[in-house]
Amino acid sequence: MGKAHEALNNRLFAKLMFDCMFSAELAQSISDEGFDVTEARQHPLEIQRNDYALLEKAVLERRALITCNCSDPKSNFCVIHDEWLRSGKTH
Amino acid sequence: MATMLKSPPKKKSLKKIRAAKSPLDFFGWAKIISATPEEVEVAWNDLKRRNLVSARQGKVDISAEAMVRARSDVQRRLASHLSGYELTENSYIVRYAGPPPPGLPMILNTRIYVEYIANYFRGGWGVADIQRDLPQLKPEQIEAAIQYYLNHREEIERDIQRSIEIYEENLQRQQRMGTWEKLMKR
Repeated sequence: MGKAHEALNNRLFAKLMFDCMFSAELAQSISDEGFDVTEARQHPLEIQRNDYALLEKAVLERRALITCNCSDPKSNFCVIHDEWLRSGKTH
Repeated sequence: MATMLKSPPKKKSLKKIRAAKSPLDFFGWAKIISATPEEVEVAWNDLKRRNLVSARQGKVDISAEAMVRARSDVQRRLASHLSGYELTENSYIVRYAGPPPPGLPMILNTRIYVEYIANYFRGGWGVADIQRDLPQLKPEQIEAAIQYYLNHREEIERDIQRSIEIYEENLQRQQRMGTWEKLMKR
């Protein structure tokens, strides 16, 4: 990592994890701007395809999970996030 | 004084104990996927032989590859049930199973909804362009999502509209809560 990136990261407050519906180009562009970015698609299929596993991974790496999954009644991060907080977990 | 001799407790047959501990419910699965228990057992054994399913510590594990590598319709239906998916008429498109309301259609094993691909397609993007943006997808998966969109245009348009409404609701909520200002102060 270059000095410019290092300096930039020192003032950024969040590390990011992009969910798999986001464009690889977008993730790369944000990474090029100096943000610490990973992508869900870099993880094994077992994690990629499971909302809960993905959230666990993001929390473990102390990353903010950027996702669009909030309209499927069966896979909805608004609901999952509420459940997460209700169970006493934080992030 | 007469001694009362208690008869030793009856031992459960090993077969029953095994059956109680086993997570393999061929009869139950057969009912759900409309097959016979024998067909389900054959399907399970073949998937197991190819390391696509296993039963350990009272739990069934299923590989993410099981549905793609299923060799028969029964195997595919069994793998789908065990993975928590509901099948559609298109082999690459599934929904999360469960009580109503139904889940939204998505590309198998990817959590990428048909509506996302429909958005690209409506914007004039071709399969190769979409694949450049979402490199984890194979062309046949993208084609399947486009085909599904074309065959269920009304349903997917409704999903897209619903997502826009949810986005706008959340945006207003975040604005009311001053989330952005709070984050910037950190």
